[in-house]
Amino acid sequence: MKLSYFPGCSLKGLGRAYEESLLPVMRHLGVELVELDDWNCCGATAYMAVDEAKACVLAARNLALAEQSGRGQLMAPCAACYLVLNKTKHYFHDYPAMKATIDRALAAVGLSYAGDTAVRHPLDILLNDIGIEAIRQKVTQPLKGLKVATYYGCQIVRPYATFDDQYNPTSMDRLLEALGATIVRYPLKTKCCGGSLTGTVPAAGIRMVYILHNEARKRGADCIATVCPLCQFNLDAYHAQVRSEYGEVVVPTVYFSQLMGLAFGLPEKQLGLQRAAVPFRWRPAPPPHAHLTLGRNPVPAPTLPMVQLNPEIRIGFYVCHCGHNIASMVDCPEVAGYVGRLPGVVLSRDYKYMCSDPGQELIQKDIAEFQLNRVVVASCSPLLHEHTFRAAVAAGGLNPYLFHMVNIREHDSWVHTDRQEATAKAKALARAAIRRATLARALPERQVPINPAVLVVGGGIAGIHAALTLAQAGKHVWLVEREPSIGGHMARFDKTFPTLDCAACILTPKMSAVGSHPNITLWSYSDVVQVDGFVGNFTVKVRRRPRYVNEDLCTGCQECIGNCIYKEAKFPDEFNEGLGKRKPIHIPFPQATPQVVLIDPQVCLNFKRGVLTDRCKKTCVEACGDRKAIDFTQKEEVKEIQVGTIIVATGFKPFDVRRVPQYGYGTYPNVYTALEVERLVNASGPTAGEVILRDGRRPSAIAIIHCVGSRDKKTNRWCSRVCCMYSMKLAHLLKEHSGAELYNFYIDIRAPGKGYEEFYDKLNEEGVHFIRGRVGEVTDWAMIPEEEGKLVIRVEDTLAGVVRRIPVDMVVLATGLEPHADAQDVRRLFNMSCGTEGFFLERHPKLAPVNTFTDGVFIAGCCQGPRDIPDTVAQAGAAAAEALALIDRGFIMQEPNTAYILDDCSGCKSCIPLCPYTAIAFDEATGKAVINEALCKGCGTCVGSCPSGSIGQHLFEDDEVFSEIAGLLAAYL
Amino acid sequence: MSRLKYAPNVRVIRLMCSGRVDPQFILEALRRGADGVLIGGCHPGDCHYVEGNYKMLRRYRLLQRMLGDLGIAAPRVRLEWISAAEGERVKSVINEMTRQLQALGPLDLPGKFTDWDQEVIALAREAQAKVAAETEAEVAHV
Repeated sequence: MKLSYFPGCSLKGLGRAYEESLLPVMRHLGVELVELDDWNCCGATAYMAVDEAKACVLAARNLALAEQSGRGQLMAPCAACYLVLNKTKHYFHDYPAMKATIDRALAAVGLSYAGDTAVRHPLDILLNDIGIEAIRQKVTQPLKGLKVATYYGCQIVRPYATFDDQYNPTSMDRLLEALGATIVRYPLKTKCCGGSLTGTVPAAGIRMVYILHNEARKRGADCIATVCPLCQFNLDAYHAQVRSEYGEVVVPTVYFSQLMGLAFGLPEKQLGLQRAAVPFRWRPAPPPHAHLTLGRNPVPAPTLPMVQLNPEIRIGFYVCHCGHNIASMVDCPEVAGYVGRLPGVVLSRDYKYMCSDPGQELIQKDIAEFQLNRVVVASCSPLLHEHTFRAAVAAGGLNPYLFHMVNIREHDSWVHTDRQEATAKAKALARAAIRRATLARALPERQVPINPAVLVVGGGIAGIHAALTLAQAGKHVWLVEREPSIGGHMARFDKTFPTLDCAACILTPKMSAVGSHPNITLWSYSDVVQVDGFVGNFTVKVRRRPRYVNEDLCTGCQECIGNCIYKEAKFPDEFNEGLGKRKPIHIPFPQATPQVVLIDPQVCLNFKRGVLTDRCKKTCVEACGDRKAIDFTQKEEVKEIQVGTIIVATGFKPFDVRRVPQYGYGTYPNVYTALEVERLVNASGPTAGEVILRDGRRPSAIAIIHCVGSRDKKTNRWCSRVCCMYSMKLAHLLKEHSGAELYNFYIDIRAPGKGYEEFYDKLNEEGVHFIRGRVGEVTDWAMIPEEEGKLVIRVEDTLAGVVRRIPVDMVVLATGLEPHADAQDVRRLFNMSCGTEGFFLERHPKLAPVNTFTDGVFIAGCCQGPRDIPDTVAQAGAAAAEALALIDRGFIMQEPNTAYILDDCSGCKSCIPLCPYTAIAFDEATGKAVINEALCKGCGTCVGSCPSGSIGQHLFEDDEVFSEIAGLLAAYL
Repeated sequence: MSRLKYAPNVRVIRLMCSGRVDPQFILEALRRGADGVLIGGCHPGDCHYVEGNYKMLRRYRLLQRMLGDLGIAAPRVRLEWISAAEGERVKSVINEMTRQLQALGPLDLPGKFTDWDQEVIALAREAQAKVAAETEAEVAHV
């Protein structure tokens, strides 16, 4: 590997130690560095501050020299050089004026720059080109026991985080870990080193240097490792001032390359360690198995296995204006005039709204008056109004399949900007439809009976409400729930906004009603694994996972739990978000429905990782006694059910807050998710409703950060709708339970519901603080003594226009709502579509919000998008009503687009395996294939594949498609 | 729904499934003067009709080989997996394909057929003239 090397002024001056250590290390790893001949200043600091263009010209000269050298890559170890060279390259590509300036300046000295040179940082090369493993192989003196605070500074991650995370870079951490060092958590890793401040406002600069040293020392670091000569200088050179001002807090500062040199066993004296003002001494720990080194020839330590991290034809034609929707982009009278002159067309009109009653009546009147035997309407998508016009045509006495629809809205006027082109396209589409319509055949309607049973998937409030509505209407409902109990997220909420009703008090009666209703079969701890069939006649397979307790025999007395061999509950309790504990045999929560216990085979002594063993005394079986409900031999079962309609109400998943590392969840114990706090403030929760933090303290100040995983380009862009309201609810509850000061950090308060804005006013009156601004980070480094031991919220208060630091004891993250991780699998299972964000797609956002693109499958609740409880219940009711409307009609009309075998079938059988619905069979008597019309779904795959063209498809006949093609392209003939 | 704007030179033919696409439809469109044909199907594994898109993929690959032999550039016939939720993708695919086809220039098979017909007619006339001349020479010789 051969690269150009740009040292820059620092590595030849104050930062010589960096060059002295980096060059031998890179050589040791087989990287050949060729110093750029006749390099000049990179253009940083003073130049950049005074005249950006001149600074960029300076940098560009170096880039041009590197390009001229023929080595496409330029290594710039100094963070400032790295930034400026990178920035210049970006400017060169992004700003034509800057490119012109650079081109002109370079031309004056006979140089040119094409913009190809890659600017690389040594860390990038070490991790991504050489690789951690290769580096680990070279370690002879592992840095065992050395605690390092990794400090990246501001320049290598801002604004171009090219090889590492902008907020939480980890490349140096991984590198030094490979060398054997221990990395201490250092939240200041990308903060300012004091840089220019030490020279301009010394007191402020020295204080920053002090904070960096002090936090490293507090966290037990033996040294701070840097990647920047400016940081190293700043941290090292002002040690005396820091000491005299703040006492003995200084920690040695070293370059990462020096640590690499030490680990590679390179001579210490050649690594420039002596140049530092605060000396760093590191004596490697004696190698393991030191006792074997008694003889003269030391026995090499065994190499440890490496751990890897990570007819007559009379056509009537109508063109719809759709108000301005079509007419604004398509000249409708012109289209009508044009189509009126086409063969077969006896009537051509344009009308403002064809789907309106007068529009439909117009068609019916014309059919009678002009003896029309074909109708073509050019308007919107057939998805929206095909059935409207078919019905209108049928009412006019014509077979509905003699109607054809042309989409000139979604496929034309809405998506184009040139009126002439759009009108031409509308004419072509209409012409094709007219040609096709001449070939249309009258078809019989297909009626299929509907099975009145309904499957509801998901037992949250949406599923519960839909199931109860249908059951009360006398329909049989199968309710399938993945968790051991129904209730969903609502069961875990403490109170509901804005009325502050107790969630359990209003939900549990509905849960019990589901459990006891004769028309509902509740299958909890079960998953839908297969769905076949179509609207009215679905065959569904449900997997019932073993709970090791017979549901019919268990009375829910819970004596088994009291008698479990584990006297103390010691396993994290899922219902309480892991804040509480449970035993291997448990019931999820007191009001769980069904009231049946279950055994967790992962922790039950009688099982070991799910396999039955003999290690337990089976005290639960003893306690159960004659009821004999406990059955360790229970196996997973797959059951098949027949239903006519399906309601999918699978809900949401709270956003994984670990995706926003700057808020410290998982790092700081007192950072909580909203759902955890719901349990924490609940009277039957793990702390009986007292706000006791994970570290046992009681908070006196609490921050609630809104929009975590919502309205954020980096995570989820949508607003989760409920977070503002539940955050305010939690603020109220936390204040009530703890008396603490409450701070809400919000972007906008969204309270668009009945009594919602009033709730916000109430919170303001209660003295809850609202600070407008997206929180930058949650950290624990103290700037002032008052912040010691606190979590500090760093935020720009956008109303006051200041950046604030607010120390608190507890942080609540208002997590957004997102689709379940397996939403795509569920979508496939039920043949639904998902929107771009992953929520299930409704058939029409306004007019068919609970329908999907698959007939007979409806959606309700948060699986369709974030919503609150009132909206969820309303939607569940709507889905139930839609299902009832289908069931009570008793039959459905099916599109007669089935395939059929023509007489010239040669009997080659090639179509038989192509059919995914096994609708094609071979008739030995006639030697031809036969298609079962009841099974055929009308995809036309067999039609498109028949080698002899012997399969036809109603509504999509070959001649119809060919005539459409000819019509579309007629202008070209 | 998103009303994203794209090039207006596309004409849509609706079929229930990409599995219904008979390669003859594509050849017919080209023969009738289309500069390119875009086939849109559901993503692999997401076919509304289970696996019609895979069947189309097989036919598409075979058709591409044949089109290559016919001297029709590969980008003129394109198969794209686009789901109902990917309006942005419809836009980018159509715009990109339009640019590619503009760069390739018109295919104009109807025009080429006319040219080839005229060439054949000219060749036939030439041959007829040659035969006539030979016959005349023979008659003169006799």
